[in-house]
Amino acid sequence: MFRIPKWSIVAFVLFSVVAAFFIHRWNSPLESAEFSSQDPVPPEFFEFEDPESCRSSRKEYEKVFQTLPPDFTKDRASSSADFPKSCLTYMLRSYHAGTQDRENKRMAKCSGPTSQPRRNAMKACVSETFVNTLYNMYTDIADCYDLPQRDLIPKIFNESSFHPNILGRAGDSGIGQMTDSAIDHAGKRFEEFKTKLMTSDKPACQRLQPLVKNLKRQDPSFGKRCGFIHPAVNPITSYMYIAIKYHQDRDGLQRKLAERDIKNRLRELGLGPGSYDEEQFEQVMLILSYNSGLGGAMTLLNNYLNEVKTKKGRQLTRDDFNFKEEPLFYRHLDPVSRTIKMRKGESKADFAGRLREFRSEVARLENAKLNYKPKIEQVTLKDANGNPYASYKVRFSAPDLSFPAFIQLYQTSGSRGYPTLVRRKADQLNVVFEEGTCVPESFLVL
Amino acid sequence: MCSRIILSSLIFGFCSVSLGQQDEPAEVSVVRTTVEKEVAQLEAELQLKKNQDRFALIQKTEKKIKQIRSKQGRQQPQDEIFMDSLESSLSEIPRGKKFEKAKCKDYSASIRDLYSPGSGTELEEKPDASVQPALNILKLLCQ
Repeated sequence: MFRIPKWSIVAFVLFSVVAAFFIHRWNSPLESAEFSSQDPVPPEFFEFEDPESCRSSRKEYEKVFQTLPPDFTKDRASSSADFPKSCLTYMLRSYHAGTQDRENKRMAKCSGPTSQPRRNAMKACVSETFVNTLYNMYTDIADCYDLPQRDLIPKIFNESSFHPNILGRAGDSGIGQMTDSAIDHAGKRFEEFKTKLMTSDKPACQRLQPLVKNLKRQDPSFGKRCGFIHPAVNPITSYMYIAIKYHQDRDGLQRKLAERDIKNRLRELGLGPGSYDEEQFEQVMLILSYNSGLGGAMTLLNNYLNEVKTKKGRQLTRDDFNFKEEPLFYRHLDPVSRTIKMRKGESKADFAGRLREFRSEVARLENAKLNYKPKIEQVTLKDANGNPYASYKVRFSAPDLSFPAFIQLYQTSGSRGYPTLVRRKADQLNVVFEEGTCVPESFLVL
Repeated sequence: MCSRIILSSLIFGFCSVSLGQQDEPAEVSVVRTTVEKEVAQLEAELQLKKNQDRFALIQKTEKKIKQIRSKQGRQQPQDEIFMDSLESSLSEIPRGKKFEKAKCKDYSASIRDLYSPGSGTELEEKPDASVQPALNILKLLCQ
């Protein structure tokens, strides 16, 4: 009979102990929080720039805005606004702070309102005239078209910080950062919205009438994208398209929520009418639709409810829709393997950056008030050449996930976890200003 | 003696590798692959049978997809989302008398808007792959 000598058993045990030591060391709790304490906000973020100190290439908007009626360029005695102008000044000044004298590839310049934007421009001079014009036009458009002004602020902060000459990587342009499909679709109702404004007796609409009178539907092709950037037709064009898109999505959302019987399905899962803020639920879906398309947003919601239903006894609570609490680490995962995979062609430094971001979000888990927390472990994966690399795996039960986590994992159109990214912008404003000043306190919280 | 050490180490190594291996699920479920095949077949049929009731062919495929999905039960969320998106984008194509060739551009723009990023994005600007069959089928109907 084959007998294993005692010494080899001892050697095996010793070897196992040493191996276990290294494995446990590798699987030790994740690094602690990488958040720095909130730095004080530089006072200049609340101040206007002096146009005299701005380079001439930064004053294109300033020059055109000076020709507008003083109703837009000056402080108003009575305003349509329900948030202070300092919110806007802060967003404009804090965007890429300190880079105002450098060209930025995310900023564009235009030779005319129907031309193709060219990258590498400077931030516009954030003068008093510039801020007043952006502020007065925004609040007038919001008042004229019944938009929830403060609910839209974090979304615009996330997209452009209200800078009118922003040009996204894929050509999404202007304050709303709309893509060609969104411009094309919103354009279908441009004339209807223009007529509404031109025939309205609301003071806000009437103030805008001289500016809107000659505006035309925009060509969605990139070659003419300056229609969303050039100061001759902006920011009014961008604002109008944001308003149209908002109402288009809202109308479509009501229809789709009814088609998919969402209210009843929420009730069956424990969220009956009156037990949650229906208006904020709508905002969640509108914010998601703005980025992923309404169809994409509804597909995610429908599948989330179906997934929750698969677990017997699982009931939804308001916390399952709380975009303030859920950390943003799920968005880094490959939804199939539930690990962070090195992307094809990704450099080691970029991958390390993603791991750092992941860890800093995981650090938020400990203090987050969540109904469900997943298990995170360190693993070794192999790249395309078979070389091992350290990564993470998140073990979770899909029916137990919150809606924000579900979106981060399974959103396939737009930016994964977009509503949480927008909520982070609201948090930023709520730290700098008193909570509820620029953004409603309950923003994306049911 | 040496061979025994090697044997022990091999057993240990084998156990470690087996226990440490990550459970990698299949990239795409069989149900999703079947559904995609059905739609591909529909596209081929629509190309060949130009004189038949093309909307009836679409309806037949939609019915079949529903049967396949309900028979097999719920799949992983990523596959369910893909199939749901495929079905719902297909359902956006107007049927019968409601379909007007003159409005083909509008139909396409509407589907693209519903399923494409509307604002700045780090993912693809174009619609998700699950929406491509609906756009292909619409193109065939519009020819």
